[in-house]
Amino acid sequence: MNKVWIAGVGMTAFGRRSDSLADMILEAARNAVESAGYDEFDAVYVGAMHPEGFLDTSNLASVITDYLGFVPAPAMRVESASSTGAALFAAGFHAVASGDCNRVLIVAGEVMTRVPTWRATELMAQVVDADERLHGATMPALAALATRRYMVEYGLNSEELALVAVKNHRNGVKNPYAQFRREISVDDVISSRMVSDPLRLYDCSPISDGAAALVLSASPSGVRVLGVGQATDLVAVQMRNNLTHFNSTRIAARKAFKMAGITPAEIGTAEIHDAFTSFEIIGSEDIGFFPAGGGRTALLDGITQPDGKLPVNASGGLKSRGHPVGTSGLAQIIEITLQLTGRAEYDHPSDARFGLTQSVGGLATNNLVTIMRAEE
Amino acid sequence: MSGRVGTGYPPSDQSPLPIFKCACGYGTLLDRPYCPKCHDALQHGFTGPFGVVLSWTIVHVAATEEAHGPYGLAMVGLESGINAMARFDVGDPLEIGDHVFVTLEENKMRYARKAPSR
Repeated sequence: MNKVWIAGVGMTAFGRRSDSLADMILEAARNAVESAGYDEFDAVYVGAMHPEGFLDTSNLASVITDYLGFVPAPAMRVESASSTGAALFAAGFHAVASGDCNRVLIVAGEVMTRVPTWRATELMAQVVDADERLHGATMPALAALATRRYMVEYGLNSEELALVAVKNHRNGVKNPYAQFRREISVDDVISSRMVSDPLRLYDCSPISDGAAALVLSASPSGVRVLGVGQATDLVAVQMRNNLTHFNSTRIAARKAFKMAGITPAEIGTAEIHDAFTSFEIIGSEDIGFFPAGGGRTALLDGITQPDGKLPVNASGGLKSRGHPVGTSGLAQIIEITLQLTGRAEYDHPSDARFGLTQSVGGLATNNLVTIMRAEE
Repeated sequence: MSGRVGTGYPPSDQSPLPIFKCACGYGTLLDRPYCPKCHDALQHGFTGPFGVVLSWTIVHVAATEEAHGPYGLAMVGLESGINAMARFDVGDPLEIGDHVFVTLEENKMRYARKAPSR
């Protein structure tokens, strides 16, 4: 397998945007292409979770490649629900690692705010198993079932859970791409309106627009991709044997660490899919940073703060940066790239050599773990 | 999707629930062609309706324009080891560990109600 480097990155500010999907992707791609210094690509990979539903559009790989001016480069769309951005990155990584491509442009975008909230919730719920959807299961509802069981098994209370949102909102204040750049308190979280008991509004990531772009290259650059792992799980939660943890993350992490040849203890900064506050804690355990229940202790002890031993979501995470669903997985990888090269504007560890991202597709039906290294 | 359980449907009984089962012991309430554990073809079967609540939520923000929260959603661990997602009445709240029975009603939805002591 050939070595693969990240040669350039670009991102739009996340939030409610009036630009078209193509224009947001163009904005992100321009920055990525300029920072890479290339303007020819062997392939273009395009990611969006649900442009058919949110925007009534399709054929995105060709449309975007045309709009960006890269015709006749081969192009394809990748989709794996809310981990689309990370799956897209994995596809591009394999294209370069195989030796088939030397330079690949990866772009992802999602526009979610043009439809009413009920419609966005409905479109997101389409990822849920048909039987569970018939019973009224939404993404927050399934996350709530996992969260309540976790809280009882590991003694986590609502005030403690709220600390994830408080931390990530504080982290997002200095992130120029973040949708929410203001601090919130534990009281704000536990008095916000209930979405699906015990998850409240501030336990959930927002509905967002945003795009991200990244250039992968076979030529050395500042950040090398060391490991990529992916795994699926049964779509229906009632068919699984574990309610509190996600096997797809566990397998993806094992594969990524094996490919990278390092251990979880060597990771210096991580971006974990905090679509719901509890997912950050659960994810940190599934990756292997902490034993089951240890994610709670790490949070309470400040280990996951930007100045802690293992900063988690120093960027503000999905919680405060925003969660344009098809974009988030790639945005996480870009944040780690910025942190490892000292370009992140928010507080992050200056000495981290290895960084990791974890992305959750659907209710952990298709998860990815990516490991990167800062080159000397 | 009313918050009340069983509204408009016949009185619930405690009949066995139809399942799809494998010779390896795996079973599920959902119609799947193959066993996710050993990949053998699944066969029709039945399982008892009694179990305990593994987790629950009350959904306040529903997934369709027509659906209105709040409604209860529980994960029940049946005695056979098969898990069942089921609705429950928010007026008759459940807790983790509660003994319940699950019914399959005409609208294809399962409902969980507290089990009579046996």
